[in-house]
Amino acid sequence: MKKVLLTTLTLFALTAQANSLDSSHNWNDGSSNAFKFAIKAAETGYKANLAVDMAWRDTGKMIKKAKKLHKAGKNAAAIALANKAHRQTVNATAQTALARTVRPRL
Amino acid sequence: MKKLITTVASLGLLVGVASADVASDQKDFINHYKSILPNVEFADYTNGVYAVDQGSRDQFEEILDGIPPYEGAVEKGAKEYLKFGLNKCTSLKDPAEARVKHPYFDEATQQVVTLESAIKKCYQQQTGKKLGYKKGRIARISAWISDQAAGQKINVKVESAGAKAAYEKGKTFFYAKRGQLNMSCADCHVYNAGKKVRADILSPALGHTTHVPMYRAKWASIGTLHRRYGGCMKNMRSKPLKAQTEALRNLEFFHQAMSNGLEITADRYRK
Amino acid sequence: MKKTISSISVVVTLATLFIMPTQAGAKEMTNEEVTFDRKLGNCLGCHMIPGGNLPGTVGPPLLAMKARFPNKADLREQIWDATIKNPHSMMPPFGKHQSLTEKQIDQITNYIYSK
Repeated sequence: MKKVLLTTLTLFALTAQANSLDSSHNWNDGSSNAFKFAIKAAETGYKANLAVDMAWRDTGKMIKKAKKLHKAGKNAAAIALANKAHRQTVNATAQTALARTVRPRL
Repeated sequence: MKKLITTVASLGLLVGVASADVASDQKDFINHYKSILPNVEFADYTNGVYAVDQGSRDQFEEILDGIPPYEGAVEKGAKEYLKFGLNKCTSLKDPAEARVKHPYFDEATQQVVTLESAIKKCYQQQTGKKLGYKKGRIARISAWISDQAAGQKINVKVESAGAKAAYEKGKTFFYAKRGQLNMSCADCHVYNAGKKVRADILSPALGHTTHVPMYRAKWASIGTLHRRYGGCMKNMRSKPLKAQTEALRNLEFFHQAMSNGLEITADRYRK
Repeated sequence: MKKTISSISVVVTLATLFIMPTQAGAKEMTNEEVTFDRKLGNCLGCHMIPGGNLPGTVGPPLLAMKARFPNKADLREQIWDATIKNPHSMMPPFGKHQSLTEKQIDQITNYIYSK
């Protein structure tokens, strides 16, 4: 239950965030640690997706941009983007699992 | 118990996969197109969407009646083939044969060898220089070589266990959904072939490889099959694989095998 | 320990996200614009929609939606992830794969539901 609530909250927060990514300001109240966790998760997932030729087009760019935002001190936006990139890798991993058993439907 | 059933079932599936047979795969493939496009003759699939839509076909024929936009490039490819000594490589010395022979499964390396990979290898041997895989010189040379086999039929052989494994990998790639848009090659070019996305007709995968390399109006130039693969993957928002990587060579192996028996054509214009 | 750290980081992340004001874009797109835009819904790519030009024919025409989806939430779910009902669906799971924001999905749902 707790998990569901957390996921929902995160999703909601991320969605609310997505629109204002480009125009975010310099926020210094974000935690650098949270960013490290988020970007690590995204990078690990992306690497795994690449290894099986199932990576998505924009994940790499998102990781790069998240790092740039982090460097620029825009921590909240950086975390949001890193989480979004991580979400992409989770979905790509799910696709990979389905791809293993796919058969023609003719 | 449940686990056991799953294990047994997946084992059965694996055995099924290993013994898959190209001819029966292709039969199912062709029958599918017969059912969704009953008016298109098998031989006409070499013409892609032009076999499906008369209006598009009229435009296509008009272009072919004039000076096709790829004509100069193919002529240049002929000169380059000789200039760079590609006729000196065993793999390419008979160009018509080279087109029909590729792609094939090389037992020594356990890899699929495509026409473009053979061209690049030969070019490097002869000139000591590298060659791209997607457009420009390699596409021109490959197009000219393929022109020499016009009228002959695609005949990909999948015989050894290694070849079958590569073919199965290509098949899985073809049917697997990928990218943010979650689409497979088959979603558009098998299950929905002939239908429209906006104003564009989805081309049938059957016959796709008969006219490559192709000139695309969208590119305003000639490009290889793997250039197109990259574009398709990008459109599905999946990270495009590099041309001629193992996964794409396996894909081509399957993709070409599905067109076995169709004529190779020099009419390499596509929208 | 690891769990505690990750919980803390989640909480911190959430806190920072909620503190940040969500700024409205330069100009709001209308429901129709989000539905038709080729980089957003691009619904016309596959569906006929009254009022839209050059529709594709891959998916069913989007007509009489209230009759087809008595429950509006079902239509929204179909847009969010069509593979829930049919794993083979060719329709991109716009919500699940985050190619659209939740708000954009609401906008498209509203627009399509009026057809």
